[in-house]
Amino acid sequence: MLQVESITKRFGGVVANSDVSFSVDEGQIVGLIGPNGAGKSTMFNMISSIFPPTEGNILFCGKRIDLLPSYKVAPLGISRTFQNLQVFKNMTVIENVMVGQHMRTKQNLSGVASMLLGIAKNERKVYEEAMDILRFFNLELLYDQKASSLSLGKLRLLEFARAYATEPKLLLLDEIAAGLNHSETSEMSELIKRVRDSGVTILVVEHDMDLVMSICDKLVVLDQGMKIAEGAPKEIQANEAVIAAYLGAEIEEEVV
Amino acid sequence: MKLQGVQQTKWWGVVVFIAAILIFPLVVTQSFFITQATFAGIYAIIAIGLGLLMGYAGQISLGQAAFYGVGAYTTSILTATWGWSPWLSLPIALLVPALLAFFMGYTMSRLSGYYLAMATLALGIIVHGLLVEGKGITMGASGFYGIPQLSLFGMTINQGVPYYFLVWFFVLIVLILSLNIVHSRVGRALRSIHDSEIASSSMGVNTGRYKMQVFILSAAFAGLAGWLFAHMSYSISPSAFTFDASILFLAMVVLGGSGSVWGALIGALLIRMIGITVHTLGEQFSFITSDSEHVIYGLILILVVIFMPKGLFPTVIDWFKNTSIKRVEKKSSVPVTPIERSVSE
Amino acid sequence: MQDFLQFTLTGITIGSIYAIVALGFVTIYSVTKVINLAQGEFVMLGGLTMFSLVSVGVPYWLSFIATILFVTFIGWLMEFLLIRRAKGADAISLIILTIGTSIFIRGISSMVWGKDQHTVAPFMDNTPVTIGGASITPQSIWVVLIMLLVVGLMYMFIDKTMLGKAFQASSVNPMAARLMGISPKRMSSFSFVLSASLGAIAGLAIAPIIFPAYDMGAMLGIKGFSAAILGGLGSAPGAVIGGLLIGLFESMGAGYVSSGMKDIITFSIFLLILIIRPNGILGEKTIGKGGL
Repeated sequence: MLQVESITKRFGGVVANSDVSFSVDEGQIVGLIGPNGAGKSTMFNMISSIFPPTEGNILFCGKRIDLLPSYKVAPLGISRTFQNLQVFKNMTVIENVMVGQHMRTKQNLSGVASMLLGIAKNERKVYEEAMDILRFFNLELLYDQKASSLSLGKLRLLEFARAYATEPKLLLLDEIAAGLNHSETSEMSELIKRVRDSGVTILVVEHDMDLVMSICDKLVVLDQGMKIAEGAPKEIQANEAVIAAYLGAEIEEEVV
Repeated sequence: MKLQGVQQTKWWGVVVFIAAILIFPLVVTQSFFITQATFAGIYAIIAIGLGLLMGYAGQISLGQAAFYGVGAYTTSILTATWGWSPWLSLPIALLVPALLAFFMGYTMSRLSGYYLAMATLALGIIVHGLLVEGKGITMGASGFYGIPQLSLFGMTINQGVPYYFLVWFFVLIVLILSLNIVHSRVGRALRSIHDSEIASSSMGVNTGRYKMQVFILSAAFAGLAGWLFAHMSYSISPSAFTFDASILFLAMVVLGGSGSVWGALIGALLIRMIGITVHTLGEQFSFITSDSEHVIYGLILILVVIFMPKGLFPTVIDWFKNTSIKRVEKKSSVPVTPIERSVSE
Repeated sequence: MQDFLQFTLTGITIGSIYAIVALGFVTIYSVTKVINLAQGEFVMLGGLTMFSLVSVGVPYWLSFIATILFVTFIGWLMEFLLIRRAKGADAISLIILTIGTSIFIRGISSMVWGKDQHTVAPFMDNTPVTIGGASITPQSIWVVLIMLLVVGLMYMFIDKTMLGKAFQASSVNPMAARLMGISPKRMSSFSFVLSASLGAIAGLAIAPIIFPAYDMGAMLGIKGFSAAILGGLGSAPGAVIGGLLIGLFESMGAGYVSSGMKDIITFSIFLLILIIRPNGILGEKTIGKGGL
C-alpha cells in the first residue's frame, strides 16, 4: 500500500534520512522505531507531504505522493496525528472532529446562495457522524468542551479521532502514547487495534517499546538516518544491530 | 436545529438587529443623523468583509479603500458615461473589485504577512493615483459628477430615509451571509487554519484557496459599499478612497473585534459615532478640529491593541459569559469533569 | 542624456532618504520583528523640530544635536510605553499599534506646527553645481553624504562594537542571545532609539529640500517600508539598495512621464519585482519549521 523507495533527506549539511526503503501492506500495523535523532519524524513529515524528500520516491497505492502539497495527500486517504499536538484549541471537541470530516462534505463558497437560507442541509448528518466517532474514542461526554481545556490524554485521543474522521486508508500516528500513563497507554493500544480492525492500515512512530511490541505486525528500525533492520517484533528483539543501536544510545545518554 | 457544542448563527441577534434598523428612523428624525447612519451602514459592509479577512483568514489589507473606490467608479462610469441602469451595474461593481482581488491574490499567492500588507498598500496608492490621473475617464481630482439616482418600481430612492433603508437592507444581507459562512464548514475550516495551519492542511483543507476566497469576498463587499456610496451622492471624488480611508476601516475592525462579524459591524458604528461627536463638539469649541479626530483614532488603535487585543465585542461577550458561568456554578456545585479525572489518574 | 543624468542625481538624493528610513525599519524589525509604520513620523518630527529650532535662531550644529536627541527620546518613549506593553501580540496587532502611534503623532504635530509647509534654510550657500550638464544643489550633496556617513557608521557599529555584536546576536537567535545574558528588553528599546535617531537625521537633512509639513511622514514611511521590503526585509544592504531604487523609479517616472504618475509607476514596478522575487532582492527564503 505504501512504498518508501530509497529516501534521502538533507537539511543543509545535516542528513536526516539516508537511502531508506520499506513498505507497508494493507491491514498491517507497522512500527517505525529507533533512538532519538534517528530520523523517524522526518520520515513521517515526508510521508504526509509536509516537506519533500531530497532524493527518492514515496508511493501510495501506486501513486507518487512526495511532490504533492499536504492538503492533497489527505483526500488520497492518508491522515496523521502530531507528536506536539496540533489540535484546534479554540474550537470545541466536536468541531475539531468536524474539521476532520471537512473534505468528505463537499460544499464550497459557491454554494453561497444556500448559505443565505441558513445552515447547509447536511450539517446535521455531519454532526451525528462526528458524535459517533467521539463515542468510538470515548470522548462523547466532552463533546462541547473547548479543546484547550482537555488533559493530555484526552488531547491525544482527540488528535486520533480527528485523523480518523477523514476516513483514511493509512493512518500515521506520531508518538501517540507519549506522556500517557499505563492505563491510558493500554487503552490506546486497544483503540489502535480496533481502528485497524475497522479496515485502516496504521504506521506508528513510538518510543514505548511495550506498546510497539504488542500491537505491531512489522517493525522498521532506523538509526542515525539509516534503516538497520526490518521484520516481525520477535526478530527485531533478537537483532544484534538493533540491540547495539539502542544500547549505544543508552550509553551516550548516560554520558550526557 | 440546535447543534450543541458547534458555533451557530444566533438568529435572535439578527432579529434584534432588524428591529433596531426599523426603529432608528422613527426615533431619530433629523436628516443629518439619518445621513450619518446611512454612511455608517456603507462602512459596516466594508468592515464586515475586512473583519472576515483579518479574523478568519489572518491576513491584513492596508488597501481596502482601493476595492471600495473601484466599485464606486465602476458603477459611476457605467451609469453616467455609458448610460447603464444602476441595477445592471451592481453585479459589475462587485465583480471588478473581486477580479482585482483575485488577480492580486493569484500573483501574490507566494506573499504572506508583511509582504502582503505592503502589496495591498501599494495597490491602494496605485488605484488612488489612477483615479486622480485618469482624467479622461474619472474626471480627475475634482471628482466624478452626474451619477444617476437609484429607482425601484418607477420610484426614485431619495437620499434620506429611503436610502437609509436600502443601505441597511444590504448590510443585513451581508451580515447574514457572513454569519452563515463563518458558521459553516468553510468557517470551521478557516478557524482551524487560525489555530494550526499545518494540522488543517493535513485534514485536507486547502488553506491557500480559502484565504484567497475570503480576500475576494472582502473585495466584493467593498465593491458593494462603493456602489451604494456612488448612487447616494451626485458626485464622488478620489479623496474618499485614500490610504487614510483604508486605515479608518482597519480601525473599525480592530475596535469592534476582528474574528467577529458582529464586532466589525459595531466597530463601524462606533467609529462613525466618534467622528460625529468630534465634529459636533468642534462646532462649539474652536480648539477641537478635525485633527483631534485623528488623534482619537490613533489613541483608539493603540489602546485597543494594548488593553483589549480581541476587540470590544468579543471582550464584552467573554466577560458576560464568565460572569454568567460563575453564577451557574454557584447554584450547582457539581464538579465539571469528574469522568476525566478518574481516567487520568 | 543630460536629462537622464539629472533624473539620476535627483533619484539618488531622494533615494538616500528612503534608504535611511528603510534602515530604520530593518533595525527595528531584525531585533523585535515589529514593522514600525511610525518610522516616517520620526522623519517628520526631525524636519519640523529642526525648523522650530532654526527659526528661533539656534545655531545649526546645536539644532542638529537637539533634534536628534528629541526624536530619539520620542522613539524610546514609544517603545517603553507602547511596544513593550503589547509583547506577545500577533503581527497584525503590532502593525496596527504602530499605525495608531503614527496617526497619533501626526495629529499632535498638526496641532503644534499647523498644516502649512515650512521653510528651513539650507546648511550653506545653495548655488547649484553643474556636473556634466546636470545641476545639483549642495544640500542634495549633503543628503547623499549624510546617507553614506550613516551607512558607514552603522556598519562600524554593528561589526566593531560589543553592543553591535549583541544587537546582531539577538536578531539572529534571540533565544541564544538571551542565554548569553543579552537582555531582549534592552535590545528592543535600543533598536527603537537607534531607528528614531536615523529618522531624525533623515528629517533634518532633507528639511531644506522638501519643506517639511505635519503630513510628510506617511508617504516617507510607506516608501521606506517599500524599500525595506524590496531589498528583502531584515537585510541592511538590501534596505540601501531598495531605497536608492525606489528613489530612482520615482525621479525617472516624474521626469519622463509626469509627476502625478510617479507614485503609480513606482509602486507598479515595486509590485512587479515582488511577483518575480517574493522575498525581495536580497531576502532569504523563509525557512519552514522543520522537525515537528
